[in-house]
Amino acid sequence: MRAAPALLRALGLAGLALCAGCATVQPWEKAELGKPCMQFSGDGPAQAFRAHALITNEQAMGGEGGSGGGCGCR
Amino acid sequence: MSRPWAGKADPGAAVAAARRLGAALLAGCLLAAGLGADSSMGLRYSHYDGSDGVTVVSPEGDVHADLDDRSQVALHYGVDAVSAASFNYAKSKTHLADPARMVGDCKTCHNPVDAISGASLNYRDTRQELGVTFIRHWGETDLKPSYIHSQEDDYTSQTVGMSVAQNLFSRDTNLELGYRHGDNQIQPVWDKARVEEMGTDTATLALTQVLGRLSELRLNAELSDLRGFLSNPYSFVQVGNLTTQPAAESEPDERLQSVLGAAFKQSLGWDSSAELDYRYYGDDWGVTAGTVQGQVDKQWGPFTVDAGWRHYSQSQAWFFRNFYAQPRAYMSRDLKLAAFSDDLFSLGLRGSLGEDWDLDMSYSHYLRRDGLDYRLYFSNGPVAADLLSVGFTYR
Repeated sequence: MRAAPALLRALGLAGLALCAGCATVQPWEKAELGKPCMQFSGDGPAQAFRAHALITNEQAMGGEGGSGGGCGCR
Repeated sequence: MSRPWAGKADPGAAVAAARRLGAALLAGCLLAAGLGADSSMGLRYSHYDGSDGVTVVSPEGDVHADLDDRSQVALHYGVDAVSAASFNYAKSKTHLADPARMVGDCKTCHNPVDAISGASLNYRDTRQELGVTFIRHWGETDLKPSYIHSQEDDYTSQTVGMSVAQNLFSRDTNLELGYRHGDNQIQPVWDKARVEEMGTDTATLALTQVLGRLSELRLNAELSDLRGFLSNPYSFVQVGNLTTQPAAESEPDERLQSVLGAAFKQSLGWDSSAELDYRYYGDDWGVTAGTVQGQVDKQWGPFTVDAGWRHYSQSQAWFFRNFYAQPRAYMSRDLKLAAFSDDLFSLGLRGSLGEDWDLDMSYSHYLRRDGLDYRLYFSNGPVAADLLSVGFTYR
């Protein structure tokens, strides 16, 4: 558990470096990202039930899901 | 954070809950129909069938309604109707090991819950969950306060949450910060006067980043603090040998959990993609876990098919033992706290049925492996399970 704050810091730094290092992808270049096949599995329609079933057998939970990505058109 | 499938309740409650679900969804339809063309309503049926005899049927419904061009409200109502094979004490491994126990019925020696398996006799349970989320858009910022109420015969849970999502850099980046607080009350079925409390606080962070025209990445971090009664009142441990009376499980009353996750999605062209996920979990009970997951998606016309594999492995909690030679301050033989690994194989289909309807179906097969001695468990070995979920959404 002592490693957790260090891991969080590393994750934050990696995230900032990632954002800063990425070239902007223009909206008209996001057609591929907006396709249904590019949806993250954590945002899938049956994900809630699957996660609910798995936590009855496993200790680890969470750390999935989020907003954004795709075509950026909400 | 509740133990969603533990306990015992009136068998008729599932029927009553299904009626309430129908009424709630009817109200949802009227609400959605009256609030605009962008509103939607979803119905889902899910089924879990475990090799240990546990069956869960979960009907649920969702309504999303646009209140105005900046505000949405989402309602969710779901039911878990759980049943398990009745406990046959004549086949109990502890009873077979000790003929002196083969007298009377179970209640002669036990509370109306099997001390070895942790399952109640003629086990049935119904959990109902009602959730509401309000979503407000301010430019590139989304604010989402939420409330969830979950009710079982022996468990009540209330969770309030708030998350803020911010689009950055021409929507190539999205940062979401969340916090939720849960209050839980546990009342064991054999002693309703006993009320145990458990509180949870969870902070979440999700960063989604478009890496280029064909790939994106998501990073997640989560930190949870659990306090209060964290034991399962239906779980018992065997101290000494097979002939001694089982003792109640006892777990520490505080737990700090952390999760880090990363998911990478890459377009493969030809309307297909591949995803690779990794998640690390650690807590101060000594449990560490890793999850690796891969999935491929392929579009065919209005439908998308996906196939995935997920592998999970964890270490055991520092106080977990399958057998205790001597009593200890903390004792548990909860299978969730053991060292084990499992795999989940999944197939899914999602897409549109005309202009107004969406359909999704998924099937998963779960397989667990461990090195435990199952002589004391009612189950004859690790659990295998089949999960099925079918959903319809009307827009």
